[in-house]
Amino acid sequence: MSEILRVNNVSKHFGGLMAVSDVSLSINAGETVGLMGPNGAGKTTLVNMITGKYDVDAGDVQFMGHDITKMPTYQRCHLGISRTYQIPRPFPELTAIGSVAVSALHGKKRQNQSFEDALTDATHYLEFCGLFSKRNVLGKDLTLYELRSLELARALATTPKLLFVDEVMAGLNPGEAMKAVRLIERAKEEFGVTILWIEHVMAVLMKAAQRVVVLHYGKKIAEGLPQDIANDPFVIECYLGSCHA
Amino acid sequence: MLTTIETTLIYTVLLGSLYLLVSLGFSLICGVLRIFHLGYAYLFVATIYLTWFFYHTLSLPLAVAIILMVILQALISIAIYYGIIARYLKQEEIIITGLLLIALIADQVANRFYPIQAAVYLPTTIIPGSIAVGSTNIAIQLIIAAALGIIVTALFVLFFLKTKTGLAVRAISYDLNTSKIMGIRVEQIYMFVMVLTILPVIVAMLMIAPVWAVDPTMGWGYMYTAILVSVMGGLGNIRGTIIASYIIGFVHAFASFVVAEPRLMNLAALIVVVIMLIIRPQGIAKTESLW
Ligand SMILES: Nc1ncnc2c1ncn2[C@@H]1O[C@H](COP(=O)(O)OP(=O)(O)OP(=O)(O)O)[C@@H](O)[C@H]1O
Ligand SMILES: [Mg+2]
Repeated sequence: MSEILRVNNVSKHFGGLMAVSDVSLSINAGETVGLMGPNGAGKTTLVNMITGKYDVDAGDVQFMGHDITKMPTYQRCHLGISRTYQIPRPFPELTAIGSVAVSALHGKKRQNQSFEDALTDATHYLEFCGLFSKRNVLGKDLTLYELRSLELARALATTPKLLFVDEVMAGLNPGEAMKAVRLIERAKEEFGVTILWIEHVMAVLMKAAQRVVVLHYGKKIAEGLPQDIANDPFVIECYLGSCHA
Repeated sequence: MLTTIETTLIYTVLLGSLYLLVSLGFSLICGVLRIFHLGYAYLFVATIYLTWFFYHTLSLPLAVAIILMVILQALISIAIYYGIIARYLKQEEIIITGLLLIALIADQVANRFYPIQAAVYLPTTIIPGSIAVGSTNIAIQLIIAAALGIIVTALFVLFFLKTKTGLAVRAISYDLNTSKIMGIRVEQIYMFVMVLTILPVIVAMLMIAPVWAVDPTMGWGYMYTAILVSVMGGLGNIRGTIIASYIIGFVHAFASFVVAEPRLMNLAALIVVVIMLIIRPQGIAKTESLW
C-alpha cells in the first residue's frame, strides 16, 4: 500500500497549552483511519494543521510526495485534501447548491467549466448526500443533519483524495447518526477517498476503520487495530480520565 | 408645494443612484476584505486629477487620457493591495493607517500641482443641456450619471450571483477559512475586489466632473457619504447599501428642497444615520455579509 499522508513530529501550542505535542502519523491510500481522544485532546487541531488553518510550531507534513507544511490552504485543497467540520460551518446566505458549487468551481483546477456546469456538478453531490430536495434552501435554514450532509457534499465536490471527517454523529439522534455514518461509508465506496475519521464512538470506528490512533493531552498514546485499542486498558483509563500520559 | 415634493422625489432618485456609485466600492471592501478603508477618498481625487494630467498637462486626447487613468488606477490599487493590505494582513491598525496616508498624500499631490484656483474642467459631458422633468430643470448629464449608477449596480449584483469569481467573493464574505479550505485563492480574489471597486468611483467622477465642482479635497465629501451609506446599510452588505443610498439621497434632497437649507444636508443625513443606529446597531442588512 502506498503512503498518501505522512505527519512528522508536529506540535502546536496556544499560549501555554500544548494542544498537539510531537505527533507523527502515516496514512495509506485507501485506508480509513480512526482518530480518537477525549475532549480537548488535540484532534481538531491536528486536522487544522494538515489542512492549513494553523501553521505548525514544529514538524512537517508530507502529502503524496509534496511537502505541504507551509503550503497555502487552497493549494492543499487542489492537491486533494478536504474536510468536514465538527460544528458545521455553512455559508449562511448561500443555498445548498451554491455552497457545493463553490467547491466544484474552486476546489480543483478544471478547464472550461462554466458556472452552469458547476451547478450541474453540484447537483450530483447533493443527490448523493440526499440533499437534492433542499438544494435551494439557504445554509442558515438547514437542520443539523442536513448541514452534516452538506459538509460532506461540498467536501466531495472538491474531489479529495484524503478526507478528514470531524465527528459526524455529535448532536444527531441515533437514527440520523446511523444514516450519517452510512453516508461516509458510501462516499468511500463511491469516490475511493482515503479517510481520517475523528469519532468518539468506538463502535463506529471498530466497524469502519482499519486502524485507530488515540490522542490524549496532545500526545499520541496508542495506535493499532480497532479491537486492540478498544481493549487497551491504558486507553480506557484515559477515557475515564484517570490515566497520566 | 406639489412641485417641491416632485423635485425632492426626483432628486432622491438622482442622488441615490449617484451615491450607489460612490459607496459600492467602500461597502464591498468592508464586506469582503473586512477593512474600513479610510484611504478610499483618494480614488475620487485620483480619477479627476490623473485624467486632467494626461488630458491637459500632456495634451492627450480625452479618450486616451481616460484609458490611461483607468490603467494607472488599476495598477495603483494592485500596488496598495500588495504593498499594504497583503503585507500587513494580520495588523489591521497598520493597514488602516497606511491607507489613510495614501488619501492624504493624494490630496497634497493634487493640491501641489493643481491648486483649487487651477480651473480643472473635464469635458466628459455626454449630452449637454438640461430637460424639464415636471417643473424642475435637470442637467441631462446628471440623469445619465444616475442611470449609469443603476446599471453598474445591477451589473455588480449579476456578477456576484452568476459568476465563478462572484461566488467566491460572496463565499469569502461569509466565511474566510472555509473558503480557503474549499480551494478559493483568497489573496487573488482580494486583489480582484480592490481593482473592481475603483470602477464605480471612476464612472461617478467622470460623469459628475462637468456638472459639479472639483477640487483636491473633494474626496472627503464623497467619502463622508460613502461612510454614512455603508454604516447605515450594514457595513458591506450590497442590499443594505442600495437601500441606504436612496435613503441618504432622500434626506439630502429633503434638506435641499423642502427645508431649503442645502447646508444642512450632511447634518440631516448624519442625524438620520445616528438615530437608525441607535434603533438598529447592525444597520439595515439582516446579515453581516455581502448579499
Ligand atoms: N484557536 C485556539 N486558541 C486557543 N486554544 C485552542 C484553539 N484551538 C484549540 N484550542 C485548545 O487546544 C486544545 C485541543 O483542542 P482541539 O479542538 O484540537 O480538541 P479536540 O480533540 O478536537 O476536542 P473535541 O473532542 O472537544 O472536539 C483544547 O484545549 C482547546 O481548548
Ligand atoms: Mg474537535
